Amino acid sequence: MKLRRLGVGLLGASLALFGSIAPAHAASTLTIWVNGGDADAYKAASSDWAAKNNVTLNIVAKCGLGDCGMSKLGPAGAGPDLFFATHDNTGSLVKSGVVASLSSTINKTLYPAAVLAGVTSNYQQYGIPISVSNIALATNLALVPSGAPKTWKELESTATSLITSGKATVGIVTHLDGYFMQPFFESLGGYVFENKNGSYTNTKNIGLYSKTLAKNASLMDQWLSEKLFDKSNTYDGSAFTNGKAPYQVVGPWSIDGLDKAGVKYELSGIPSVNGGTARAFSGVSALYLNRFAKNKILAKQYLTEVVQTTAFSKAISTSNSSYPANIEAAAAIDKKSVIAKFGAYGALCLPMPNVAEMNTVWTYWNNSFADWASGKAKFGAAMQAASANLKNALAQG
Amino acid sequence: MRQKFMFVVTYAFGLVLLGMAGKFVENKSWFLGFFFVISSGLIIYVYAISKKIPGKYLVPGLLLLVLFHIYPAFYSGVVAFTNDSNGHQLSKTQAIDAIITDSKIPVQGLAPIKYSTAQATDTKEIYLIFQFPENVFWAGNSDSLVPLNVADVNLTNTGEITKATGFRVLTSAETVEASSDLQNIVIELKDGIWLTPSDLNYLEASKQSFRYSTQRDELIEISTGTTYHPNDNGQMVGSSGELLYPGWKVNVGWRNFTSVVRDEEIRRPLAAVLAWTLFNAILIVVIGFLFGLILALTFNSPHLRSKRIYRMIFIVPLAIPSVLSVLVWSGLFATNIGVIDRLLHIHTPWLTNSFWARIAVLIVELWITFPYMFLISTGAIQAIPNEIIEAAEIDGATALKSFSQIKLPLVLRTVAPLLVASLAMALNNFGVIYLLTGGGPIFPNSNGNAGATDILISYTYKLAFNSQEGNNYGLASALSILNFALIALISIYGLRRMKTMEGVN
Amino acid sequence: MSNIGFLQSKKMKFWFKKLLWRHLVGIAVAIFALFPLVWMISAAFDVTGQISTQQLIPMHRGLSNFTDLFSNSEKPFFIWVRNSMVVAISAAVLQTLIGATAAYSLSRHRFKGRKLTLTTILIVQMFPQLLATTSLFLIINSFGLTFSGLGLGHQLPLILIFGGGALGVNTWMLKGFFDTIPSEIDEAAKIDGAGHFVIFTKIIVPLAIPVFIVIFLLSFIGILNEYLITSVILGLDGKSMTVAVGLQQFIYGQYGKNWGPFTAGALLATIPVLTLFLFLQKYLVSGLVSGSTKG
Repeated sequence: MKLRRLGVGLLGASLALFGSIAPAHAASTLTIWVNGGDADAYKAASSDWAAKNNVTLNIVAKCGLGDCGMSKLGPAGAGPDLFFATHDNTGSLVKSGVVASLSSTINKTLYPAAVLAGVTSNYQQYGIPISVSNIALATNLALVPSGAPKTWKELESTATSLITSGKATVGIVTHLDGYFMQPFFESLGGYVFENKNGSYTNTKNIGLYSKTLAKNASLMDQWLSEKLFDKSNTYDGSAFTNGKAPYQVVGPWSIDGLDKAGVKYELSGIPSVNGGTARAFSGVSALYLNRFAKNKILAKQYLTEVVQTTAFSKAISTSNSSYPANIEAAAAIDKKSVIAKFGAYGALCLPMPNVAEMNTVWTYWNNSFADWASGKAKFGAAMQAASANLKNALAQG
Repeated sequence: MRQKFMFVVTYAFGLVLLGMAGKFVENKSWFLGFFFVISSGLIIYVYAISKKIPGKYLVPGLLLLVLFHIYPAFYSGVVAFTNDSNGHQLSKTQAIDAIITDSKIPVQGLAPIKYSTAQATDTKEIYLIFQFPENVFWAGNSDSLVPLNVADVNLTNTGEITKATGFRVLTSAETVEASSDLQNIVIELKDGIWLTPSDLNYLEASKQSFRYSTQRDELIEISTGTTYHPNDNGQMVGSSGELLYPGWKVNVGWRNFTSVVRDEEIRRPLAAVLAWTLFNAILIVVIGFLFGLILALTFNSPHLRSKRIYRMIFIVPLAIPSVLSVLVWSGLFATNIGVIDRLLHIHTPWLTNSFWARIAVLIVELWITFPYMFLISTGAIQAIPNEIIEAAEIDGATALKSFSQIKLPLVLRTVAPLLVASLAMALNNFGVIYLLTGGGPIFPNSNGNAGATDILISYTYKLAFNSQEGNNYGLASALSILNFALIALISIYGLRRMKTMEGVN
Repeated sequence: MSNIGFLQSKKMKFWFKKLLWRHLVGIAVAIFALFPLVWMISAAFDVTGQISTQQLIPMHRGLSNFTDLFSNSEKPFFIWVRNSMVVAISAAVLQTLIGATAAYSLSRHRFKGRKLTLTTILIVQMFPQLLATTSLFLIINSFGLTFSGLGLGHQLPLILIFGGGALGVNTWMLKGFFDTIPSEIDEAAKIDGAGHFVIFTKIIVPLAIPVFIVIFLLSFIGILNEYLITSVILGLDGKSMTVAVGLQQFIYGQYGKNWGPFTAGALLATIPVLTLFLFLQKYLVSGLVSGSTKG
C-alpha cells in the first residue's frame, strides 16, 4: 500500500517537474548547415549580427558533397533555414522543390555574371554565392625557366622537346576525365550543353561530339601518343615535383603538396589551341534557402546584412583559402597569392552546368575518356559514343 | 529492502519516460510520444508489477531494437511503395504551393515597399503597415487589409512609419522576434497583385501565374487559361503532356518491385549485380574458410613452438579497423603508381577494369576474412576430443582419411552456423566494396549507378543517396527489401539445414 | 660424438619433414597479413605523401605527417580518438550487457513468444540499416527538438542506436554458449535459494567471461568501423567526428587525396586496437567457437 502511494506521489512529482519546464523560447533561432570545417569561421563572422539582433545562430558543419540530404530532410521538416551546397546541385534542388528563390534577396551587382549564372535556374537566383573554385595550370620553373606558357604552341613545343630529349617523361600531369580535360576539350570545339550568356537553358543541344570536335579529335590522339598526356591516367604528381613533367593541372587542394615538395612553380590559365585562354569549369559554393525553413524572413535578413557583405566574404575566404565570389572581396586579395592566381583564371572560366542532367553527363563522358586513355577507342569514336549514350539516356529521362 | 529500491527506481524511470513522452507530444513528435508512453508502461509493468522473469531481461534490448531497427526498417518498407525520388519528395499541398510560389512574377517598375510591423492594440494580431501608392496607408495581413487615415499615421523623412492609431509599431528587436510569423503573411492588394515581405524592411509585389482550384483539383495558368491536371505519378501535367515541377510523392503500389522485372534499364544492371553479389559472397566464404582451415591444420602441430607468434600475426587484419585498412588497400592497388604494381613490375588496371577490380575486391575480402576463419577453425579442431583422433590412428587411418572422414565433418558441424552467419554478412558487405572500388568500374547503360563490383547493398545505397540520375528512394527501398528477403531466405535455409534451429524448440 | 651427431641429424630431419613447410606457409601468410600494415607504417613516415614514390623504407623520412595531423585545428585528431573511444567503448559495453541479459533469458527461461523473439532478432539484423539512416536522422532530430542532449551531434543517441543492434548474432552466440552451461548448476543454486538475478550474475556471468570478451571486442571494432550512421548523427563538425569519419576527410575528395596524414592517423588509431586484440587474443579462439558448439 505504502509503495503504491509512493508511486502515485512520484507520478505527480514528475508530471509537475515536466510541466514546469516551459517550452524553450522559440523566438529567433536561425539554423545554418555549412560545409565541414567552415563552422567556426561562420560563427565568428556572424556573432556581432546575432548579438545585435538577439538571434541565436545554430551553425552546424553537416554538408559535404551533394545536397546535404536536403531533398529528403527539407520536406520532412528536419532541415535548417540555410544550407551549403555547390552550385551544380542547383538544378536538382529546384526540380525537387526544396529550395526557395532568393531573387529578391541577392544583390546582383556584388557578383560576376558567371558566378550568378551558376546559382540561377529558370531566371531566378536560388543561392547566395560564397566562393569560387577551379583548376589551373602549374608550370615547373626548374624545367621551364621561361615560366607559364602564353600560347598552346609554346606549351606543346616546350613539352615535346623536353620529352624527346628525355628530360621529361610526360608533358602535362592531369586526370584524363571530363572535369580536368574540359579546357583541352573546349579548345578543340567540344562542349557539354549549349551555353548562352552564361546560362544552360537548352540541354537538347549536346556538343560532346560537335562538328568542330569531330574534325579536331585526332589532335587529342596525337597528344596522347606524343606523351603530352600520360595514357596510364594515374595523375602521377611526383613526376611534376621530381622535375620529370613540365606542367600539371592542379586544384586548390594540390597546393599544400606542391609547397611541401619544395618545387618552384607558376600558376596560370590553360592556353587554348585557337589562341587565348581555354575555359575550365568553375564551381560556386553557395548558401541556399530551405523552402521549409522555420524563419525565412530572418534568414533573408541574415543573407542581406551578413553574408552579402565584403567583410564576411573576406573572413570566409581567409579561413578556408578559397577565392571569394564577392567582387570587392576578391579585389582585395593579394594579386601575387596562389588564391588570386586561381581566381584570375577562374574569372575566365565557364560555370559548371548546374542542370539536373549534368549528373548523367559525368558518367558517360568520364567513361569515354577512360576508353580513350586505355587505347580502347580513338578520341573521336569515344566522344561519339559518349554523345550517343547521353542523348539516349536523357531521352528516356 | 532491495525490492523496494528496485520498485522506486523503476517507477521513477518509467515516469521520466512518461514525462518525455509528454514533451514529445507537445512538440508534435507523435511517433516518439506514442513509443515513450508504451515504453514507460511496459517498463513499469515488467519491473514493478509482473512476476514474470523473462521480460526483465529482454525489454530494454527489445525497446531499442524496435526504435532503432524495426521502425526504420518499417519506414523503408512504406517508402518502397511510393515514387519517392528527386522531384517527388514533397506532399501534394507542398508541391502545388511550390509551383505557385516559384512562378510568381515580380510586378515590373514597382520599387520595393517599405513596411513596419505592428500589433493591433485590440486583437493583438500582427499587421504590416505600409504606404502604397504615395500617401495612401494600409495595415494588412493574410486575412484583412485595412485602409488607414493619413492623419493617424506618423511618417518620418526616411519613409519609416513609427506610429499608427489603433496599432503599436514593434521595435526592431520585437520585429526580429516576430519574424517567424511574418514569413507566412501574404497581402492581396488588388488585380491579383500580392505583397509578401522579402525581408524585415521591405515588401515585394508580385503577380501569380498559376491559380489552384481545389474543387476541380487543377492548376490554371492565369494568363492563358491553360489547365494542368494531376497524373498518377504525382505531377501536374498539361493537355499536351508538359510537366510542372516539382511533383509530389504518391503511392505507386508494386511498381518499384515490378520495374525490377519489367524495366530493361533496371533489370539488366540488376541481374549482373545480383549474380556478382551471390558469387562474391559464396566464393569468399568458401575460399576464406578453406584458407583458414588449412592454416589452422598447419599450425595445430604440437611440435611447433612458434605457433603463438604466427597466430598473433594472423589476427592482425581482424584488429585493424577495416574502414582504414581498406582505404590503405585502395592506395596500394592504384594502377602503375600503386605499391603492388611497382613491386611486381606490372601494369594492372586494378579498380578500372571489371575483371581486375573483382580480383582486387576478392583479395581484400580474403585478407579481412581469413583471420576469423582461421580462429574458428582452430577452435573447432581443438574442440575435437583427442580420443576420437587417437582411436582413428589406432585403427590405422591415414592422415588424409582421418582428416576427411573424422576431422572435417566434426569441424564443419561446429562452424556451420558461423559460416551461414558469415555468408549473410558477406552478402551485406557494404564497406569493402564502397571504400575500395565504389562499386566501379561502372557498367555502360546502367544510368551510371551499377558497376562490376557492386553488390546489391552498395547498388541500393547509390540509388538512394548517391545517384547519378537523382536519388530514387522508392526503388532503393524496394531493392533493400528484396536484398533482405534474399539474405533472410538463404540464412534460414542454411540454418535449417544445419539443424541449429533445434535449439529453439 | 657420432651418437650426438646422429641424434642431431634425426632431429633436423624431423624438423625438415614436419615443421619446415609449416614455417614456409606461415611466413607467406604473415607477409600477406602484414602487407597493408607495413605500407601504412612506411607511408606514415614518408614525408612526400605520394603513393607513387612510396618505398618500403621511405627515401624522405620524417615526422611531418604526424605534426601535420596534430597541428590541424580543423581536424583535431585526438578529439576524434576520444570521441571514437567514448562511443565504441560505451556502445560495446551496452551491446554486451543487453546481449548477455537477453541471451540468459532465452537460454534459461521458457516462455510464450520465445521462438518468435529468437527468430525476430536474427532476421531483423539482416535488414540493411543503410537505408535507415534517413529515418534515424529524423528520429534523432525529433529527439533533439525536445531534449537537446539527445539530439544530433551528441554521442548518447548514437550509443543507444548501436545498443539497439545488440540483439542479433551476438545474442545467438551468447545463448549458444549459455546452453552449454549445464542447467544442473542453476538448479542446485535455486535449491539453495538463489534468485534468477543471483544465478545470472554469480554463476553464468563468471563462466562466460571469455565469450563476453569476444563479443565486446567484435562489437567494439564493429562500432569503430561504422561511419555512415555515425557521420549522419554526429555531423561533420571537426570536433564531433570519430576517427573513422574524420580520417576519411583526408582522402575524401575525388582529386585531393592527402595520404600522408591519413596513414599517420590510421597507424595511430590502429595501434591501441591492435594491442587490445593481441592482449586478449587467447580468448578469441575459445570464445568464437564456444558460442556455436553445443553440449
